[in-house]
Amino acid sequence: MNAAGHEESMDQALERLDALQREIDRRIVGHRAVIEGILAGLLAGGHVLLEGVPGLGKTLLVKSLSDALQLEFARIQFTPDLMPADIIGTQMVMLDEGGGRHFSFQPGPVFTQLLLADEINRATPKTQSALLEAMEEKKVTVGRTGHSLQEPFMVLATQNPIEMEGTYPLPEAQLDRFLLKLTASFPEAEDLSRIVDRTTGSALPEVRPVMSGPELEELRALVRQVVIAEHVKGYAIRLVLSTHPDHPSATPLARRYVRHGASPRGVQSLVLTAKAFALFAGRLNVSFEDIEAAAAPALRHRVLLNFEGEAEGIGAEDLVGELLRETPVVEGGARA
Amino acid sequence: MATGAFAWESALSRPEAGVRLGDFVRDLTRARRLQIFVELAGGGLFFGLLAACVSILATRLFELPFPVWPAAGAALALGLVAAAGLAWRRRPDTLQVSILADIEIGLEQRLSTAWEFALRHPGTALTARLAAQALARRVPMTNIVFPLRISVWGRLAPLAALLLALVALVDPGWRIQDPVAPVDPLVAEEGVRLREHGQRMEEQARRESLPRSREAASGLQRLGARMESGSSSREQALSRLRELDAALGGERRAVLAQSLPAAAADLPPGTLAGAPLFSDGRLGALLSSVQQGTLTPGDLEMLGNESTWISALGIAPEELEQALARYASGEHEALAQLLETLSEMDGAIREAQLLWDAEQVVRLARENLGDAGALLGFPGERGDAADRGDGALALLNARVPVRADEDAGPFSAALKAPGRGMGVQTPSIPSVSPRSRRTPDEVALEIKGRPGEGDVYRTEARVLPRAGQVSIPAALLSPEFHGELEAVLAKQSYPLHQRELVRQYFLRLSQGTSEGRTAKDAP
Repeated sequence: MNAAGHEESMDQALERLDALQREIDRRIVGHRAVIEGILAGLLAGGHVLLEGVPGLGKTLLVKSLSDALQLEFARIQFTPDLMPADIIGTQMVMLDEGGGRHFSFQPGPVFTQLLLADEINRATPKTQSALLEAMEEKKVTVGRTGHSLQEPFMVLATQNPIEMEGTYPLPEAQLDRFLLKLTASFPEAEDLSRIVDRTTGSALPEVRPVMSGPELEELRALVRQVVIAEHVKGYAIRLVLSTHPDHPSATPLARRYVRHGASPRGVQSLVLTAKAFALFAGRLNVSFEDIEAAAAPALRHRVLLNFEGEAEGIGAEDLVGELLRETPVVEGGARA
Repeated sequence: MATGAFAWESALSRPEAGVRLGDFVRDLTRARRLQIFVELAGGGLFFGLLAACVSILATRLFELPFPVWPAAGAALALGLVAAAGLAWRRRPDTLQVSILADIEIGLEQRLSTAWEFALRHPGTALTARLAAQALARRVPMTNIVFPLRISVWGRLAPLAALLLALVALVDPGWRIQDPVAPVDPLVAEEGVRLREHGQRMEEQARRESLPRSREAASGLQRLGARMESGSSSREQALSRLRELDAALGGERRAVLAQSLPAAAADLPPGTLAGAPLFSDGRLGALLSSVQQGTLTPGDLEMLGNESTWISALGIAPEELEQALARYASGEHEALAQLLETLSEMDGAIREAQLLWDAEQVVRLARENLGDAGALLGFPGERGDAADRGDGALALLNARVPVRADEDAGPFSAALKAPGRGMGVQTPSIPSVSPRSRRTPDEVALEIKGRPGEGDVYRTEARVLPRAGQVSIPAALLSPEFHGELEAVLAKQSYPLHQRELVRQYFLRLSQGTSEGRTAKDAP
């Protein structure tokens, strides 16, 4: 792509993203960071875990996104008795026209483009793990047959952090599959007032579809064309390495309270999300600020605390915050 | 570029973003390097000024043989050069500067990313786009991005300059000599003599592999250079000469005690020099021949004839005979060992001789500078006591016998014996009562008058020159007699009044008032 083409694509992308954001804003009040995070995950081609107490509009947000995108949408309400076959589908005995019987694969709700896995931590680990292959490889294997999922494919999972009874925390391998983990915070009074106005009227505001699947794919390709300089990439790598308690650059909190630092997927997530943020800003390059903005959502679920850290109530946010304070943007230099 | 200090420019208003990006980054790099240099130069100036203060104080307090102000200037220059060197080592490259400029300007890494791609992928469309993006923002002038700053050390430089002025103007202690004090020509002259003797001594010590003498020669040269530079007063020079005299004597005694048996301690080196065995390289050649078993009958005969000299070194003649007999029977080891012992003794005696010569030169310098203690061979406290005028007078009037053999080393007997020792005929100087003559510089005090009824009293006293004064400065002597005077005075330790006599003799020779014409005609 030449310079002019690049510039044109950038302008079109920004227009589409603006339109998408406007449509979501018609229904969702506040949650700017969460909406930006979901859009970043969408453009980066990853999956997003959304955590928040009930009633914050998580499900509505995902539903609104699916309405704004011309994508197939499916929702699975995770419960303790949900089975893997309920998600990926199963082989059923079917009668053909001649009266013969044969097994036919009946696809489950995972065969969609935008999958809402509501309250994912209510299902058993076995059922949660049914999503692993779909999330990582964008395909499902039933018996000996693999079934590809339709692109673009994205899982948006929600979980409630306060109800411990009858929930199953996501295993580390499952958590690592999520590109980002976003936390929905309680809205401010002004936002609450607007929520009341919008949701207690005669009808919910309509969300129009403004972006198709192919257009989304174009945007995803554009995100990957955003360039990152070596020193910015080095900063991202140093951030991830500093989460490892045994690494020389580990921060004091990481040394004391972390059992396992972020995986290599953490760096990938960090850089891809930062690229998406750079695109939102209309920039062709990743900046230190993009990396810092992406650090918390990309790393918070990848840093595993040890017993002492959990006992003392250390939050991943604390760790990431210290990480950003302690790590110089330029190697051997001071923070900007 | 912009026209004013705070002017901004629009990068997109001009073509060739890539070229302009390169120009901009190079301008930034120059500005950053200049900024670093100025920061470090401030520190270099501060520490250079401090070093200059220290050098002035050290030069004055410790009487170092350097001129004060050039040393201070050199210290200051060293500080600045070190700062420049450090700035050169820390000079950033263009990419580092672009990264820093991004942070300073807040360009969100547009500039550094564009420059990195321009370096790695020059001429591509993406690079051009990145360059245009980087320069699309209004960027300030380079000297605004990297303004010249003075470091904390640089801000302290005026204080250091003030300190330097105080150090230069205020006399920090009584030991500091007046910086404009004239150079004492006599001290300088003695310094030249010492340094030249040190050089000759060092050459000889190097030639003959005499390590202690080489070290002593270095000390002699250092002191000579210091005196020659004029940084030492006469009192200071005398103090150091006494110290060196004592050190040389101690070194000489240590050399002899380590290598010679007690019985051979008084053996004059001239004795050995007169023997064929101790002529140049003869001992070494003999030792080599013994070890190879190629000793000739002539060598054996010569060794047999040298038993007198060898026995003087504490080796019994029987031992030599036995060694020769065993050599004749084919056993070489005993003779080789004996020759090795002799060789070591020979080396020690030669080293002691060099040190003794140096002592004599030092004592001569002391005497020329007016140190009466030098004549008595008192390098230390006794010499200091003798520096006092009344002490010198007391010593002189008491006619303290000079015991030249007391501290004159093991060769004193040889030195006194005609035809032996150093091989020079020592002039015979008659003992003259100090009351019989009066030197021109001596002051006669006379009290005349009638204090009451009775005899008329007349009291006469003589005051010898104080330390730092000489009765006959060397400058008064004709240069052609300098060498002869020194040769005479170096041969033996004379009492002060006799030395004065010798000096007066050469003074008269210089003035043409003496009937004698050479040193041999001296009284």
